[in-house]
Amino acid sequence: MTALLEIEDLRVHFPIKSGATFGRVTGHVRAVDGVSIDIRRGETLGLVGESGSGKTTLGRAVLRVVEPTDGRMTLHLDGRDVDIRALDRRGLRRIWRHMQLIFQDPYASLNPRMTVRDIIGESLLVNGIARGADLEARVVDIVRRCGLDAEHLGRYPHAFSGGQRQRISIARALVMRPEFIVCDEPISALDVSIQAQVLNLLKTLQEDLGLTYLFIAHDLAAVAYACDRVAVMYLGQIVELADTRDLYYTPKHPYTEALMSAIPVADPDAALRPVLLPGERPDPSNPPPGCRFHTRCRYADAKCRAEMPTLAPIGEGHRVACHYASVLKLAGAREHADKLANAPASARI
Amino acid sequence: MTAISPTLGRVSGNFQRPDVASQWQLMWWRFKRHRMAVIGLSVLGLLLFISVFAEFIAPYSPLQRSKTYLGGEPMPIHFVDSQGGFHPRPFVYARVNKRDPVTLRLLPAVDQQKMWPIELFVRGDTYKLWGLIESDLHLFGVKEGFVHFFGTDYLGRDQFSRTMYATRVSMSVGIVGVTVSFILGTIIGGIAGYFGGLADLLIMRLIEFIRSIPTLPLWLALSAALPRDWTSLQVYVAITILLALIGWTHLARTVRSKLLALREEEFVIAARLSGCSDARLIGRHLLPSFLSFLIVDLTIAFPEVLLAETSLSFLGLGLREPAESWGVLLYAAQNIRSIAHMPWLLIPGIFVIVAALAFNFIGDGMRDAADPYAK
Repeated sequence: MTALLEIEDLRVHFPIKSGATFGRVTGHVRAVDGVSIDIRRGETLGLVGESGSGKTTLGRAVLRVVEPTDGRMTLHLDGRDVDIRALDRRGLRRIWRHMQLIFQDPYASLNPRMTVRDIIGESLLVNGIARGADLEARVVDIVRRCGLDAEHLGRYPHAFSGGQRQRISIARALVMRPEFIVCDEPISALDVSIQAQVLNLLKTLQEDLGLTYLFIAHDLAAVAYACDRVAVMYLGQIVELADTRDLYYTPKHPYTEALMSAIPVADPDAALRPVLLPGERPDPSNPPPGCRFHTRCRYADAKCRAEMPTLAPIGEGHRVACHYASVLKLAGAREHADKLANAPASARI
Repeated sequence: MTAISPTLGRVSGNFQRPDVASQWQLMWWRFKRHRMAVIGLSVLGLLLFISVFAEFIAPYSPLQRSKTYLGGEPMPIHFVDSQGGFHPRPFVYARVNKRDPVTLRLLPAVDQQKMWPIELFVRGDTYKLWGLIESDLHLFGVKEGFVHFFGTDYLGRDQFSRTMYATRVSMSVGIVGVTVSFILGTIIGGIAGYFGGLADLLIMRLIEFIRSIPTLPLWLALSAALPRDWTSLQVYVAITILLALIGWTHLARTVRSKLLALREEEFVIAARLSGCSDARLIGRHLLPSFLSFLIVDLTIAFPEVLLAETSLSFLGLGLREPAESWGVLLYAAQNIRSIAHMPWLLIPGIFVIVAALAFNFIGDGMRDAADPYAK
């Protein structure tokens, strides 16, 4: 598979100002700090991490909704290589036909004062792609593909449920037939039963329309279901990247191990015993030296405190940023689940 | 966007659309429950009607002098005469001039023996409605004698007619002033809020500067800068613009703060990703989201402009005779002698109060109606 989007050493730093107007910049929040990743054509790349790890910022920086501070982003579009960071406003408008965003909150992401028809058709209209009957036909087509009733196009968003609104949001993102979609936690605001529907819808659409997804989420079960590969983010950096199966079953980074141990099991009696990380997530404006994770890692030693590990290959398509990745014996999702299942009854609850 | 393909038109034709009230409808329903606001709206409607048809409603031209009725008191309308007889056509009692036996001054006196019936649609002074249609038709008048509901001033000019003409000028100063403020405030506040950064910084400091100057001295300074030999029309336009130049700051702040809050909303980001231009983003996505707040602000800004014009004219720095505005008319009631002898010269003041109150009530009602959390 060829790369659709190449991200090299992407950084997004937000300045911290003291004072409201004439304040001096006193530091930077390093929301994304040196991320390099390839997104392959037709895949779903999962991006997981705790709150504040920079997932959303990374997703938005790719679309230049948030301006990156540094790095390169190249989109490969039928033979052309587009340098996303070099685009001006006009170029951006053109590239947004090929890359779109699905938002987390289906309530905040739809203009309450526009009908569904206007919301979905707007991009076709303003980009001069279609108008009149052609526009209507395209809107109806995408709406049907997204499982909505074309008769409801004249309604306003408030008349729809959360799941339906998310379908509208998806239809809006897809109506220009983009190749690449950033899904920014598209299901985390939905009911569990609706989550599955939306995940399946995204899968179907991917097959039908040949889409590539960057799937940002924190629900590890959903990520396991939806994604081909998964990248784990911690404090603005990617600590591990692997095929979903490898990452879940043979994690190589202690942080991934901790995440895997926290996947809930559908057994009310099972006492979840996650690998507890001591301490707090460090302040992203003042990250610790050496390995970003060493302050909370139970395997850390002097080398980790001094030297920052690089995201290095460790197996077939498996990359990890840990000095001891090849030495550590870490438990994956299956071991954690087994441990839970085999725990003696007395240890339960 | 309104174009609908024939196929879809058929689909929606079969489909029973549930009755969904639009936002404006909801607002109107809530507004109607606010009694004072509805009264305010009716009063405003009446004032606007007067402004539009001032020449027709006024029985006399504003400059015409009644030489036999100088400083005359208001003439009340009667249906019942002194003998208790009922007259279906209302009338005013005739006035005769009698010489005061002590001062030997000619003073108008009521002659209860003689009635001047008031008639509708009488021919009187000719005028040009809106400067276009020549006519001499007036809403009411008398064929014999004269009628002065609000009395006359010391020159014998009909106070009622002058107040009608003044309503037009004062209302239009208010409306034009508020409109210009609105346009200025939206554009300047829009630039500050939407683009932020240095533009925002400069504009906000400018607004703070303007607002920190005491208003009355600022008006005085600006209106003193107007050449004294300007015609009343030029002064009128200049005063209107002047009031707008100061009045936009409040609106600009509202627009800016709303834009700042809305700019980061997800639906705005989505619209940007859809390829919307800045103009479309503001006009189609941002402005409609806070238009209701703006309208409320406008109705509240209106009395401010109205009162500003009245104050300026009252101080003799705004419009001047022979132009009429409520403030100009009140200027005549400035000294204690006028008020003591001719208290009816204060009648235009009632119009100012009523207009300001009407706008405030409408603003109240609209604010409640636009508040989605109101019960």
